[in-house]
Amino acid sequence: MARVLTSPELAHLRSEGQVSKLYLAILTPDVVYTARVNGVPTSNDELATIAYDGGAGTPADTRAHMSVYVGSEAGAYDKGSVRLREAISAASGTMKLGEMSDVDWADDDYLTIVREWLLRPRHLRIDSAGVVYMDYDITFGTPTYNPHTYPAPVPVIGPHAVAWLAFGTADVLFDASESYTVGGAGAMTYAWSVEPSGTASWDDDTSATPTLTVTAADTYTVECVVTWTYSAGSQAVSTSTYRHVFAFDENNAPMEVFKLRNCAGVFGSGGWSFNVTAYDDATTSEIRDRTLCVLFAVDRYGSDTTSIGPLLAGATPIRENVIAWGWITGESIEWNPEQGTVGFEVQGPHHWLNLVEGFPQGIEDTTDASSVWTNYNGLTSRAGTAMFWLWRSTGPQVMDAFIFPDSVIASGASPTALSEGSEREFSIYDAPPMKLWKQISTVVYNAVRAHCVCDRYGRLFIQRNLNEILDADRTGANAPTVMDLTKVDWRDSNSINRETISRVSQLDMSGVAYKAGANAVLFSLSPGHIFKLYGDPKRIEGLTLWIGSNSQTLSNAYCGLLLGNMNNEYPVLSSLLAANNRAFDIAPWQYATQTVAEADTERGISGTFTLLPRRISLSHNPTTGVLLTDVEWEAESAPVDGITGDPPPTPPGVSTTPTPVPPTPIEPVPEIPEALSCIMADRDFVVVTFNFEDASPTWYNADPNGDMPSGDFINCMAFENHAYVVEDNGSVWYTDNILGAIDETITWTEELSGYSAGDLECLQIVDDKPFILIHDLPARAWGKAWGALVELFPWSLPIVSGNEDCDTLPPPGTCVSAKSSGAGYRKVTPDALVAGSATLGTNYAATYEMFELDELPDPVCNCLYGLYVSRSVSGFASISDSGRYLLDPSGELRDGNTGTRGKNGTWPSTILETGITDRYGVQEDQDGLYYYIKSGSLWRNGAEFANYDLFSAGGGDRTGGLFSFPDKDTIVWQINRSDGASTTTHNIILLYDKPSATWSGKNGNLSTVIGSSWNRARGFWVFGVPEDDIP
Amino acid sequence: MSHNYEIGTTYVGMENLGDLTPPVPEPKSNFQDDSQRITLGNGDVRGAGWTTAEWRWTFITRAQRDELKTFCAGASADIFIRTRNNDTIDAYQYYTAVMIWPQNEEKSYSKRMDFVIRFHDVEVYTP
Repeated sequence: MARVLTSPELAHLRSEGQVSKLYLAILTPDVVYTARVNGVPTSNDELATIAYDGGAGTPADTRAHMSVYVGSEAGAYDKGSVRLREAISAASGTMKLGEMSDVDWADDDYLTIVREWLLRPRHLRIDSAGVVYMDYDITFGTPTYNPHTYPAPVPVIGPHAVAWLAFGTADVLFDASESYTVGGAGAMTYAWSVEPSGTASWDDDTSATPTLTVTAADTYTVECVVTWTYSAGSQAVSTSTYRHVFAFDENNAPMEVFKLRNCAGVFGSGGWSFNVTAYDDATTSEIRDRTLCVLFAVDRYGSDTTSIGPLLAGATPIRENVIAWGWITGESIEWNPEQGTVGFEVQGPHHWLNLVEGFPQGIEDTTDASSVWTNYNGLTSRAGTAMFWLWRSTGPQVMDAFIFPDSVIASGASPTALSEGSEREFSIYDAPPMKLWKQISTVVYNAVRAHCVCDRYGRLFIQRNLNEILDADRTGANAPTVMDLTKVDWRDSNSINRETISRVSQLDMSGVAYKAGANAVLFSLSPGHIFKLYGDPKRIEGLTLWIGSNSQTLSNAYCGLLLGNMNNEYPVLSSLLAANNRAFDIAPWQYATQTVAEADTERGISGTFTLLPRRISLSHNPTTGVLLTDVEWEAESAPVDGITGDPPPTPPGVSTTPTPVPPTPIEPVPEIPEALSCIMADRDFVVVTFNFEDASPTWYNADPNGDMPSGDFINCMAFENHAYVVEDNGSVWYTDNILGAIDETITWTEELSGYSAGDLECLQIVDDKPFILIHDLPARAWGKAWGALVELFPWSLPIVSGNEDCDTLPPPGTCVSAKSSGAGYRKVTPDALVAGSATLGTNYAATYEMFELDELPDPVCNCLYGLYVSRSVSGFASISDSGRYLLDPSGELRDGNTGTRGKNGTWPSTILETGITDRYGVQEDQDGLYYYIKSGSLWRNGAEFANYDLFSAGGGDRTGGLFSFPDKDTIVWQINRSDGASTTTHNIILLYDKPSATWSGKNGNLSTVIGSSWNRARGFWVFGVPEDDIP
Repeated sequence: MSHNYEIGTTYVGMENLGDLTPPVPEPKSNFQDDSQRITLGNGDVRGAGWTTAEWRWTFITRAQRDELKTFCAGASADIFIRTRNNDTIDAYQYYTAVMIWPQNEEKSYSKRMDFVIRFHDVEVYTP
């Protein structure tokens, strides 16, 4: 997969005169077929077919999963872009489309089928009889074969290609020989075609490695139908996949007037992305929304024009000139009288798979022949993932995928086993409803700790962490050493982060070794029953382990591997390479080596490091033409001892044999009405109500039994039945029974402690997970104090201090970050602590408010590398929940979707309002209107919306209040007043109902619950509780 | 007035600066084999980036400036030049290059003072 660089290539990398010109190839897909909508569907909901007529073009040119533009005029896509489920066959009839609800269909809408394949979900459907259909109407066994007995092949043909015509012709090599199946033995055949075909031809259109010769500049689309013919039954099964070939010549040049920014691949994030700023015209017709974009280079090493990449060695370069590709995910348009620019953000497949919601997937192992979509004979993590990939997404049509979570990558049908044994079996492949990326990555990580990572070519690799496989498998064949880094291979300085204090003191690991009819629960400990001197104990449960006579031995060794990696002495090393070196990538398995002599460092460290690339970034200087590579590595780690662990005590009569989990119910979950609830932390009290919408809410003392000290509460948050309260002495209290406030059965436990006053700050829900902002972590092995955004639930997640902590985040890629003291920030990825250099202004010199959240759920927020919220501390910024609006500490309210959107140490560029110094944050309602407190009043979109005298005349404390939005059409505003209509309650809770445009007071019985001593509300949180759960 | 520096939008159309109308005087030139220096881990330095060249005049007339401008309508243009390189004999050589028009032109009466034209992406051209 990866490869060792040759001597000539190393000479090139060490040569003088390296220079690169960068270009962008941007897809404008060909129109294949056009038609008009014929009539209006009875409902736009769950629509999977549309009647059409007036077809123009050749129906046979259409292919399944092509994009279909829906527009109000010819060629337009203003109404949407949908997926063609099946090729059409006539000029009129019914077009099968990917199931959708979001297109507002009208008679005679224009349908334009284009030669474009995007990453899209393929939803399943269950009819009233409970029969499961894939992609709306595909029954199990359609048309004739059993798709679990005879799985379709997973095509692997390489990425999109870019070619320059020399003397009117160019050759492009393709290689489909790494295609494979997760089924039985057989043989692979290939059928290649290309459009337009008039100026392109194959030397052998049935070869695994054909050459395409093009004779004109154009954008070509290559189709490869990969067919696996099973030896058993001669059953032939095919999968089609598509790639584009961009051919240019002097008169048809690619886009070159742009600057490249932030081109990087990050192991923890799962792939590559880059930004470009374009100075040429880039209209929406020239560069379509979400279009495919290939960044490529013409590279020169001294007098040789060639490119060096991870693919074929020695042969004609086939993709080495491609730096990265992806689809345009966002843009920022700068409009000024001198020169306008457009910044495009291009994200690889990992990002797009993480934007697309998938229905749940549940496949159960069966000892019988598979007979329905929900069972599988001989289920493994690989088989389950491959089925998901093949049937639940259009991934196979768009990109390569190497699904080898528990083996070595190999083509054909028999993966090369790791020395632990053959692939571990699964009792169930259970993917809950979430983004496609998470559906895949969560299952393989939780079960076998495999990672999903896309390389620069958009090839998905599902593999274990090299540091978590046995030493015997870390061979040159499995993980080549790309090159040995000598002192002429890096520039300026290297950095080595060395950790001499273990982060995990003991790993308690358990899992199930499963085989139909022969299960075993295994427990392992590392290093043993006695903790290491330093670090926190950690527990990993629910792994899928190896079955067999040596399963316990393997489990123990694996436990030692994991602990060894968690306490890696060298978790991060950084190299600034002195070359245009694109040979390294974040996947697949590969190494570099670097020898350090005793005299090289002040510390006298010596030895040869074996390094795993974890972050690779490229920077291009357009003035000098120099393209340089920076790499952050993780050193290879060594295992420690592992022993058999101790099963927990079993109550009499309880079986230890695991009960197979039934498949995930895939029927839609009925919506349960939720009661609007509110928890509020006063300095001395915590109160909660579950009928916040009522005219007079009933408030309850949330701590009737006095579990929490009567201290200095500063914040609170709740969701479902969970609640957190932050106390200003440096602790967090938690209950999983907030409803117990009603009958006083609630109990609180101190879940986080040991911090000082002011350390703990705001609470926030991100991606359905609770996080707390910690200002000032104790000094850790890094030698500095860090700020951190720490996931609260589950509590097993340790506080961020280095590599291993984030590694435990399920799934990998859920990223938390920390900012160092002083200028600059550092980002903690699941595998590395990444040094950064950005600052956000002097107000931030001593605070810890900047967080880079790669995984924020909202597409807009995705790009706003967020500033998470403190509403009460000066010097902090806040963003609205969607990330659309950002209030900076100087009181300037910005459109978070402008400029660099908060990335790289710059604020979003567009200032909407100024002078908002009340520091109570910015909120956004469902209509996109923004709200903030200014001079004690509530403002909306630049105008005063409500005055603090709203409910009571007379003098008062004009310090405004806090406000927040539940997921309903309501605004909540709390005013602190020193007097007013109520002489005993100095606080007034107001709720504004948007539909009726009315305000109402929500103090209810507050004065009864907590008397007249109510001091001053510090924070509150509005949440929903299922009505059925309320006693 | 012919001298050794030439310019043209094509190779065959190259003209000696001294033969332009009006003639442009011989510039002082420099030539950099690399535009970026990289300090390696062993302390050595590696040259990288475009080869660049410069033509400098203490001053030229407005008419001479306008004549040069015909070769570079925008801020930059692909061009052929003959200029002096750094070889031991200070040889003159034909190159393709990107001509960068100066961003600021200091005017004094009808002259352009300290006028500098830069070339990057300078590559030897062999007819």
